[in-house]
Amino acid sequence: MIFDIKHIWLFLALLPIIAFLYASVGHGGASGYLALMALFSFAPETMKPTALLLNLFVSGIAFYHFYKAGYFNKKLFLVFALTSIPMAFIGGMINVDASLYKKILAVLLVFAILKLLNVFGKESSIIKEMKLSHGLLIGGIIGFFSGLIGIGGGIILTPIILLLHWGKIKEAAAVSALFIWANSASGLIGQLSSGYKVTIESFIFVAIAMVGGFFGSYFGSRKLNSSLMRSLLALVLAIASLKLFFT
Amino acid sequence: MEYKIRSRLWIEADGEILLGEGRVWLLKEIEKTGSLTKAAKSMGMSYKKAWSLINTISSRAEFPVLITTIGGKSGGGTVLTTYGKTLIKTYETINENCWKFLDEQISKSNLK
Repeated sequence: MIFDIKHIWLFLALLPIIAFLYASVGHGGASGYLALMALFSFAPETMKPTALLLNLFVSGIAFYHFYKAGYFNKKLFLVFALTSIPMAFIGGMINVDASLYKKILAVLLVFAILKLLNVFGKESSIIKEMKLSHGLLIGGIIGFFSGLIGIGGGIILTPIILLLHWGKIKEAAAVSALFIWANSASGLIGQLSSGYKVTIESFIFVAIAMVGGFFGSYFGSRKLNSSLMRSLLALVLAIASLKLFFT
Repeated sequence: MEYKIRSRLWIEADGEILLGEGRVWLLKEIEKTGSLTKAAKSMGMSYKKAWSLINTISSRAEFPVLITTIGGKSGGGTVLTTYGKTLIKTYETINENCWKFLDEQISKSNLK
């Protein structure tokens, strides 16, 4: 019983804050929920499916808000999705010790964080056209790598769109939100087909996280400016990087 | 005596200049020539200055204003996005309306 967990009320208070933070940049928050659940000593077998369920709903509401605000770039999404989804499946089938790859990704994320914070000098803001072949290749690599180490891929996709200047931060958020939603749905179907059952407690968590996700994505898509969003994204990536490095 | 009244407008985003007369001129030259280098040359501006202006517009605008392309038959270039064209149109419409309004006001005035 999840509600027997010590200090569950503190967990329930932190959950919408995590959802708010991640949804403000178009993410679902899986790495944040997993880190939070690990801190509160959740049973390992319930952590991944619960995180996926929360990720599905929060990225869904994030996509809704960024889409309604006009930031969704369909071409960008389709190019990435076309190769990433099958490659994630292939990556997921390969059985490797993912700990080394997670640490490599954690270090790469630190580099992305520093670039986002303009530590290496001010970045060009001019958008470059994405070549179809480059998009397909990068989508495939993200999908394969995500499947290999068991992540949704949003923490890789968003910085790549920004660092390669293929879109502005809110466009990256909209594309990532749908990308994460699709990957979470596929991951959750996999979990359900392997015998996991969604409990009523999980839906209580969903309802609480959705409140944070709703307001986070509303503010991200309508109120926050680009430079604040870059800082929030850097914070999200820092949490993800720490989680990848230490768990 | 014939009086004229003029004003210069600029659009700000989050308190910083997004678009003014000079920047609109640069965007229109880019639209016409399909190249930032050619646009800067036709305006007698250095490439560095033109790039810096475009970079500022791009960083402050909510959506991409222009997209640079690499390769292809023409070897690449710079094109305005639909949003970029909307920005120019919006600025010019407001500017024209403003000037019309000012002309009306000065003609109604008793200035001698």
